[in-house]
Amino acid sequence: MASRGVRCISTIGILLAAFSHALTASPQDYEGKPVAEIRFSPAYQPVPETELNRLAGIAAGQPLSLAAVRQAIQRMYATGRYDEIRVDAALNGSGEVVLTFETLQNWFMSRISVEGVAEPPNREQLLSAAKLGLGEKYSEEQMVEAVKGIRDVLGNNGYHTPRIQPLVERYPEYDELHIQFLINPGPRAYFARPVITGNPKRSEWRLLRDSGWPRWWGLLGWRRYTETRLQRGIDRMRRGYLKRDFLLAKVDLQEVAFDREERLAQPRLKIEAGPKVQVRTTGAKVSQGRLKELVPVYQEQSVDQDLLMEGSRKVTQHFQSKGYFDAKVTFDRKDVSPEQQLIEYQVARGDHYKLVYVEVTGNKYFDLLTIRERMGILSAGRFTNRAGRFSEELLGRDRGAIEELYRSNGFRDVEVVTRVEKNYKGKDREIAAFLEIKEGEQWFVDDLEVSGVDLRLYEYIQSTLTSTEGQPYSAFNVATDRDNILNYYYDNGYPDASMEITSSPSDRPRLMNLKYAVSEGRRLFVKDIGINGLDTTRQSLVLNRISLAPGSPISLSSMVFSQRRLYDLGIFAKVDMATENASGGTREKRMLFQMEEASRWSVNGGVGAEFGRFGGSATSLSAPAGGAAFTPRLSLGVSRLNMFGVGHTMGAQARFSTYQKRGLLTYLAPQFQGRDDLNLTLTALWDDSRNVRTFSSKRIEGALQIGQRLSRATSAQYRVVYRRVATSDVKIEPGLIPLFSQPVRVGLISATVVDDRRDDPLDATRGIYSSADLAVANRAFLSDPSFGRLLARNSSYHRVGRDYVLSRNSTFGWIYNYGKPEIPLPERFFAGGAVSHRGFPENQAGPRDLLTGFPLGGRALLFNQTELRFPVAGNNLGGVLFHDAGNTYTRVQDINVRYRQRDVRDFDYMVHAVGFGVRYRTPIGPIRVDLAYGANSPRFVGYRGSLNDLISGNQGNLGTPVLQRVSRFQFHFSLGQAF
Amino acid sequence: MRALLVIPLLLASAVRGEIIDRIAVTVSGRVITESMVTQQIRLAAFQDGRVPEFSPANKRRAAETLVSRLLLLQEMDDSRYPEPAMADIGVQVEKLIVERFKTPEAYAAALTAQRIEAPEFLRFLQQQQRAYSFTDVRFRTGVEVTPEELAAYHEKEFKADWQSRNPNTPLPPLDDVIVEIEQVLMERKLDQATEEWLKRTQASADIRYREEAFQ
Repeated sequence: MASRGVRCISTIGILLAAFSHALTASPQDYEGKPVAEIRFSPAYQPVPETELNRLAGIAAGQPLSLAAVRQAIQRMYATGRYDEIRVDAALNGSGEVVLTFETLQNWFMSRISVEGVAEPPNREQLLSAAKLGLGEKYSEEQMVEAVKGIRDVLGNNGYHTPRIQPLVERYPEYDELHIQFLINPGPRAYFARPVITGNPKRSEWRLLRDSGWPRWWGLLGWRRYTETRLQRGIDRMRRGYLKRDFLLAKVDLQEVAFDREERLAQPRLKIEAGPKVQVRTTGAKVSQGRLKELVPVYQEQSVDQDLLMEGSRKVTQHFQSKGYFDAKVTFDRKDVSPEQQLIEYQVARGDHYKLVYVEVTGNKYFDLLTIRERMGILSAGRFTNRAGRFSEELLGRDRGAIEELYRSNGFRDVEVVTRVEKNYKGKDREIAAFLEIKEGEQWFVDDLEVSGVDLRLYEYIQSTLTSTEGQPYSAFNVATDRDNILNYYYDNGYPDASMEITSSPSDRPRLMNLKYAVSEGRRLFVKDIGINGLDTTRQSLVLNRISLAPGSPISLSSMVFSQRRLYDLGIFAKVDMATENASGGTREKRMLFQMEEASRWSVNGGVGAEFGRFGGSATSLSAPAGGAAFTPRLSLGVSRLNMFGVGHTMGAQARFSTYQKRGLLTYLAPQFQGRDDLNLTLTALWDDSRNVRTFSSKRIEGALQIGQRLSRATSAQYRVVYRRVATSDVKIEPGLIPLFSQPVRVGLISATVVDDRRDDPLDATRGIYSSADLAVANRAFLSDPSFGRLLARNSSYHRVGRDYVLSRNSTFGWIYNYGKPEIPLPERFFAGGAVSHRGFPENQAGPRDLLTGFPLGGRALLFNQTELRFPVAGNNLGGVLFHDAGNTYTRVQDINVRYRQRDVRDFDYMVHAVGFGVRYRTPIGPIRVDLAYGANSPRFVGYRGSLNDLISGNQGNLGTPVLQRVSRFQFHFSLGQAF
Repeated sequence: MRALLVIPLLLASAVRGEIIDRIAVTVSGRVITESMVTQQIRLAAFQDGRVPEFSPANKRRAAETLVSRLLLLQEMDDSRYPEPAMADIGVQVEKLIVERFKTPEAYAAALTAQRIEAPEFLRFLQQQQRAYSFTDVRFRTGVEVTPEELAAYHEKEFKADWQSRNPNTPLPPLDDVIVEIEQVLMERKLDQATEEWLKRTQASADIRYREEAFQ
């Protein structure tokens, strides 16, 4: 036993000897001792093992260096994945050092959300107040601040007893966590009667009425308190003072006292009304409304020298824009009494001038058009700008713009000399402006040296440069080069790329040497992609639209492109992107996408009216050419987004008017098959309409369409359509009714190509628009009739002079019937009206029934429209003179340009109409009124009587053939240009 | 038996080992370790000829100095401010050897005693010199000493200092000492400007001190 005890004590002694070192040693005592082993604790490390060993940089068997340990800590921390690193050392039995890296990892926020608050404040405001960044490191301190920020925002919106519960859910496989703030805001406070101090000069009752805080003047108590309502109330009070000329009135919110028990928020306001300030002009009249726009003291609610000067400048410009180019405006500020101030702008208008001539000379390098495009001064026009546009300031600005244009193309010594000649050519009050351009010599690049660029990229970078040897030298070109190079780097995973540019004159004259020194910095790659926030949407839908892939460089443009594609799906209210651990030193980064799905249901409704010559009862045959009529129109739509989580949209639309009842179901798949250029639409339609006077039609239709964008200007649609059409109330010769009014099934395939090269589709002034639609109906597609149909259109727009636009539009249509039965009425061409031929009422062109005179439609059409568009007054009111020619023809071989109608049975001739119209420009396109005169409008035989009279053959007093004519005068009112 | 009970305790305390280094401060993603702090104390003490003191308060002060230096270093690197030539630093060290240690051997022995490598001390001096020179260049522009400030300093601080040092000698007129006063005030203002810049920069940087490193 004794020997066992001795052995034991000896062992303890050995152990003590071994470990006593650890208990008393300083770090330096380990230096130089061989490293036996390197351990990392805990076992899970956020950096892969091989990478970790590389970062530690300490090898077993090597002598320990404290400097190496320090560097290891710095390298590991620089990865951004560690919050804490500590290195322990211990000696093993052999006297070697066992190093242990004790670490604490960082967690990154990959989803931050807020739930449970009725707006205001909205989610965005609360998230913004939390100040937590997607992809950033998480810390407890930040969370405390985040809760405080959210609490403040809630408090500012009347929630003073909120409960905020932050839920943190960790995802160790990604070192990520999701933070969800569950908020129970409690009841919202109400406004309490505010405390108003100072000298408001208005009764409290009026101020409260302005504020809008009491409900029904306080009879129903007070409104709920929100920050927006508070600010809006204060703004309204300010506006109340402004309206009464108290321009210096100060309405200051000093504090809002909250009574948590009573849930009341009492604003304390200090109001100093100040004196009344009257602003007026002398020497020339300016309306009070215009003066309020020109003199900024109204907007700023302050009167100081700078604002008065600004007002003076704007009043001067106001008169200059009206042709008083010499206008001089001074101002004076007077205290009329302690209660009233007067600001008087003294206007010396000078003579009224007209800028009749602008001459630019000396330009060799740029043509006149290029220079004119940059100029603000404008000679007088016939319809608009009748005095021209001119001021010394504007002329100076033009001079600067032209000089800048030249400098940016290497003309470093360019000078533009301006001269203004009054009483031009002896004409009193007419002036001319002359701009003489002294171009000087052009400077070129002698030598360009690019350094710091990876050799593999060198060739591409070179191809993007504009300031290469022999090219014009300018600061603009150099800046463009810098932008091109850096953008290329940013798009290829180099977020820290920078560039230094030096330029120096060459030994040779007019030549510059350039040096671009690029510092590429680190290159970052995508490690993987994290998507959060999807409740309904399938992850694959999102992933397929993200153009970043693991292993690819992190590209800024790819990120923006991905974000745009996701927004284009129309199912996300918000798409946030971030690089996780962006500042960390690791080369491979996880990309985070946080989505917020949009509300899935949307409902829309509309009330409108139609007015036109489509009137007449369904049974009366008395007005085959249509009578003036009015019908209200109602529409209602509902759509559900993101069907099945794949980004598709289903919608139902209903429209109701006297002449049309329509129900439409649509199913839209945007970015079909993941392709931006494709979309798929399925539609089901029920339509009961009487838009053609001849018949009523009931249509049930199903269609499948694939839309494809072929280029920026060109698109195509491919369709398969199947419909069943039944007609009723057909007002044609009874013998023909069975032929035309049979319910028919039409199955067709069609393709449309559109090439739109107009500058503005709503109101084009230049460009060309072409479209062609080709359809084939065949028994093979279960169609009763078999026919082919082509409808082609071409429009062109040309600017003539400065103000005029000459536009034309040609339309050709052809239906080829290669089977039986006859083409049913609803499938024929019905044309005429506001957009095809203004000499006709809507759908009244072409062949007519010889007994009733109602339009029968045709199998061919040809129209040509020509318009001269010009301004009438200002920029918004315009006019057109137009000539429309053409008709709907019985067959394609009947198309001709004959002017005269042979007899009342002849409808295959070309109808001409001339007229004028007025256009008023609005953001949704011009409002249009056209009056047309059709000199050779068709005459025809109509039938006086009812449909029953016609069918029963009763031609007594009621049913009589009557010679009629489409009115020579036609009036059209609609939205948008005719073509 | 009691001995056997002691073994696990001994093992438990020994397994943890000695902390040989740890993060002391982080400055926007960069690290100052505890060993850097202790070495800063040694280097500063050696430069001043003091015995290094590793109290928590002193460690904290040294860490603050390192943070300021790190921020200055960042600013110097961003503006590509050059480093002073090592030859100039060598001259400075030679002067130190002559004045304080007499022989290079004594200097080397003193360094070893303080666990400082000679190149490390040279580097320390070089960084210090670079920082002085940089702050002078960076902040001198815009620093101005007004005649009123010169007069006020002469009237108060200089007078008090002069009278304490030279009780029986009349105060020299301002014009005679204006260069000296201007220098003092300029240095003071430079220090102020540097301090303000550092405060601003520190406020915008993410600086986190790990208190356990300063125990």
